[in-house]
Amino acid sequence: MFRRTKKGFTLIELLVVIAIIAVLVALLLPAVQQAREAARRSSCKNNLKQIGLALHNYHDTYKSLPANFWRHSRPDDPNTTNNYWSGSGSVEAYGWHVSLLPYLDQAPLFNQLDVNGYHLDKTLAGENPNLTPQQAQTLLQSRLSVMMCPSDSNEGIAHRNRHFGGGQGTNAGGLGNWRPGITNYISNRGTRDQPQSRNDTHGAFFHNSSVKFRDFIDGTSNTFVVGERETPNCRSGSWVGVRNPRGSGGRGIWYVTAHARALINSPVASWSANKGCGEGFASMHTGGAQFLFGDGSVHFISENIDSNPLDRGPNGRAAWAIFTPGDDRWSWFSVYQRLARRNDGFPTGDF
Amino acid sequence: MTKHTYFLRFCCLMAGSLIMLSGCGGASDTPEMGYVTGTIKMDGKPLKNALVTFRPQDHETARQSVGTTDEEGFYELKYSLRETGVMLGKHQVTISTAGMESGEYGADGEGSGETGEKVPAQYNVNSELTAVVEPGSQTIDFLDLTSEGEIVEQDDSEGY
Repeated sequence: MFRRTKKGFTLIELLVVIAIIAVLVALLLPAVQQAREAARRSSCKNNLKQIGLALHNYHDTYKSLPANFWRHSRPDDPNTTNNYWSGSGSVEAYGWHVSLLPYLDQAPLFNQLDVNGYHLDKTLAGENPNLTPQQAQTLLQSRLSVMMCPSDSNEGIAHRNRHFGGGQGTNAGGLGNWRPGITNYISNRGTRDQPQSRNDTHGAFFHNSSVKFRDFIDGTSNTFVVGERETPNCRSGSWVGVRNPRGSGGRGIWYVTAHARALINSPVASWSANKGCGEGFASMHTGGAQFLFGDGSVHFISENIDSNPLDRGPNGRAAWAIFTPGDDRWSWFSVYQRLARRNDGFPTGDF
Repeated sequence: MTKHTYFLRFCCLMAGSLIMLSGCGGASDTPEMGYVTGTIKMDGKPLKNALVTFRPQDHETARQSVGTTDEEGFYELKYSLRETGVMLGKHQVTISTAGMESGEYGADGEGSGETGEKVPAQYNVNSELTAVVEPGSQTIDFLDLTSEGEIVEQDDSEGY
């Protein structure tokens, strides 16, 4: 006997349930991806925060921020400020990251490298009797998780264009073309793009610098000191230092530092036309990048922030090349550039 | 049968509200944009490896978009690393080859150098080129550039 019972579901009901599950999954999957990125982003932010604490601890000890990169004069050279920029280039120099190693639980690495005893080029050339160039190279290729943003995709070592080939110490030590340890955290040197310019001392770091917090005339909460740079397009950087501080473009100081003339997440590849993200700040996060401010706070700055690169002034000179201190045209600098300059004297408001 | 109808209605309601919920979030401060591609020729020949910059004229501190021309002189404007497009409205356009990284990478991973300025000043330093960007995709060509005119190298070696 056929008897119609009410057990089970009809086809329609099943289809509707399946459709709802499909909708739910479709909603959830992107959300999971976003949650993963959000987690990486906050881990990335935590690294910046650690670097901020390290900077403050360094400042407590030495009463100033570390130099962007340093290589003081030879003993026979009385001119302590300029010799760095004269003579032949391609002299490797430690960067600010290395100064912070003891404050980031990396004191053993710092001590093994004997940073205070030997300059980077001397170490690479094998002048340190306790460290062969090969041993130094291994140490300098260390993967330091605090230096790396988890959102970034990289090979765990500096981009091939951030190599240390051709430097004086590298040549003397016979290391050939080698790639140093990677970092995604890059210091702020201000708004000028010329590596050779000795006048751009408006950022938080410059060559042989010793900026103090009292030098942040605009206030430490209105000036950023460190930002991010990603690898696939912008070639991130190296925590070791610079290969050729006087070189232009990719050979120069952008291994450790960046300027705010390039827009955040600039679409210009590499270091072209002084606008490339290879010498600016950029991140893998959607819509902006994270910045560490002088007061130790970390903020996400949108790439839509007002920023006027002022790259063409009268007679083809960059607009600020014609500025002198006190010139009211400094007010032309927009919010992003004002945040990058610690002593422009202009309010920034919200950003 | 009414039971089934209720169930179906309930399901439809759930599905509908979920779809609507998915519209929440994702608010962005990115402005409305148009999408621009085009070709640049100087003296009738494609201008390669040049930087094309669109600068918004309505709001001078707004973000500019840039594009780099390929071998055929073709460019696409990009707003940021991962976003194409350009803000709507009137723009001043500059075309320049100064300081562009050129060529392939050598064995040591080094670029083969930077190109000098090949485009006369009337297209970059003293540019009178303008363009109006509208919503949606569009093609903006600059086909009648001439190499006649003073070439001005940007000089910002000193200053503050």
